[in-house]
Amino acid sequence: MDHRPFEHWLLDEQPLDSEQQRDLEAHLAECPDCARLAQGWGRVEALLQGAEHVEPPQGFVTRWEARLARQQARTDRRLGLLLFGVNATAATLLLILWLTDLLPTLPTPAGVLASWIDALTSLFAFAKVVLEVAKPLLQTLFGALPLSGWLTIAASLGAFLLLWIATLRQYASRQGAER
Amino acid sequence: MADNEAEWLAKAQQGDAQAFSKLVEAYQVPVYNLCYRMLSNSEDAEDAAQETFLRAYKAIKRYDPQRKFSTWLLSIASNYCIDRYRRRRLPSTPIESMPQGELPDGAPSIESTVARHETQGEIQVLLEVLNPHDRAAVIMRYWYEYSYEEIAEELDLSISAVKSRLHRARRALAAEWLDRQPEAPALGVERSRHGSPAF
Repeated sequence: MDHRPFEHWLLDEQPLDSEQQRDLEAHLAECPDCARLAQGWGRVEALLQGAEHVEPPQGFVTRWEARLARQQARTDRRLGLLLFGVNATAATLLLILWLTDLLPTLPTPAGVLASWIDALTSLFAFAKVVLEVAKPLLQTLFGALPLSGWLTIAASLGAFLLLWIATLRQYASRQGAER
Repeated sequence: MADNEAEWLAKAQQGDAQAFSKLVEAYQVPVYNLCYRMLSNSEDAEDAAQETFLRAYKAIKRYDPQRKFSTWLLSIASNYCIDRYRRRRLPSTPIESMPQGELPDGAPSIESTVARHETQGEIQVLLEVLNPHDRAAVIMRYWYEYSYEEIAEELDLSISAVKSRLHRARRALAAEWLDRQPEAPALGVERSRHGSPAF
């Protein structure tokens, strides 16, 4: 026996005319499988039709608002990080470009070392020239006076220096007494 | 409510979060109920309902006011729950340990509360035998009284596919209920809204 039409009549929401209704009742009376299906679905359908809406726990809206605020804060933070990342990347690229342009104009370490050596060499050469010029001058100067003459000049300069220092000290102590 | 809803929607579409909160308040029960029926767990239902409203809030500017807001919202909820259900297959939960949520009532007797909770748990256990699409179709049909056309639209199915899924789902639910009975129940169940003509 083909049970399918009866199963459709049982489970689908199509209206049955009186003849179909009679046929179905007759079939259910003699077919235990379809009768069990009718019983099972009848009970389930009653459960479904009597089912209530389950309500969320109290404070659902407040929790949603808090969740929205957290979500927005997270979005803002992500946006901030994205902007920082973009800026940092742009700055790094600019630095790389600038260094790429600047590097050829900068001296190499070997060049810097060579320039220092060159400067030292020039300094020594200058000192040598000065010494070469000064040496005959000094020899001429020392040969012009006897040793006693040089000693007299040195003693005179020393005495003059002592007299100058004594004058300064006396002047300073007088200024302090006046204050 | 309808006038208020139109005003809240207009404001929400302009970025007013307070106006959207009013919509959350108005639709928290249907959305939570759909999520609970789909996921069978109050924690998952809470999370899914919250996520549904977040997604709706983000997409509110794309909402077409010609469409019913509740339908649009419930389609977001059902699609999210179907995805979530697929990602994480939930273990079957016994009736005794089934979470119940808070049921709207006045001052019910202990007997009626227990009976109702047992019924809710029984329904959830039965729904768990269905795949997510069939389950969503049953929930839309019996809790939200959607037509076949509306279910087809929300689940992106043809009308014949919806009829076929509902037929298969009803058969599976009936078989599951019979399997859980120690002996065959008595005949003579009355038929009511959306009921089979046979009863």
